Amino acid sequence: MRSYETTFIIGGLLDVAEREALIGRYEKSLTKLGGKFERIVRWGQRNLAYEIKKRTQGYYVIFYFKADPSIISSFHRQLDINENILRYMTLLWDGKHPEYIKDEGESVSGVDVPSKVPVTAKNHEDSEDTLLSEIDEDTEVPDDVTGSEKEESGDSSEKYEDTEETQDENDSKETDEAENLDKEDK
Amino acid sequence: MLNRKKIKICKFCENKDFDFNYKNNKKLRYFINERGKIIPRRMSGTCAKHQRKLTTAIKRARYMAILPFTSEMMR
Repeated sequence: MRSYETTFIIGGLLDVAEREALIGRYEKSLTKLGGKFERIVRWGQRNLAYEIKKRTQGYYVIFYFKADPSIISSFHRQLDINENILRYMTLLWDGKHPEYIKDEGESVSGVDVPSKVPVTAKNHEDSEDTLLSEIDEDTEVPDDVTGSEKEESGDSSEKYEDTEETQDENDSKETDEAENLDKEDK
Repeated sequence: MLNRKKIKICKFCENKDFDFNYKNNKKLRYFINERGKIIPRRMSGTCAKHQRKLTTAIKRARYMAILPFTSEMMR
């Protein structure tokens, strides 16, 4: 029995009831195949980074479960069949629950919600992501990026911009040189 | 070449708490540039081992549409 995490994206114009029915169906089929759920996270409706089948938004669901390796391929086949599922990815899971994965609402019976992760009603932060248009041209990596996740709340990007102001002057010169080199190569 | 003036220490070697998870949208975004390309080691100063982990996390995130392949995709 190995620990896996499967993330999949539900596209399509499904209302909440149909979506829950879909998730319930896959939950049952996986349990029937021999998987034991640890947790199901409904990550919520998010903007996709690019269009998939002409859709710009998708509903992300994450399954954390334990199973025998032999059932994974048949689970994937069931995910393939459904045309409402845009993408899926299964990985080995190390058992950790990241704090930035917050759930909209968990409703699997018999599954314990880890006490560290706050269960919020709706997390709107991620649904408003529009990615690169928000990032400045001189994306210098701040030194605080690897800091602890607990400090992050709300507008964390502003916090990173305020720290390390003194080093930005030197760093921006280097990035300009690097960009010039790239242009010359072309 | 460019690191002659200033020796950069790998940020991940200093602080080992970083989670190289493809779902870590906000933190991974610092390591792609405005065109969506992964920032090379010589500019971000990461060591080889962590750059590899970072790259696999970014590529997985790209597949799951959490990060874009290029920034022109949404135009």
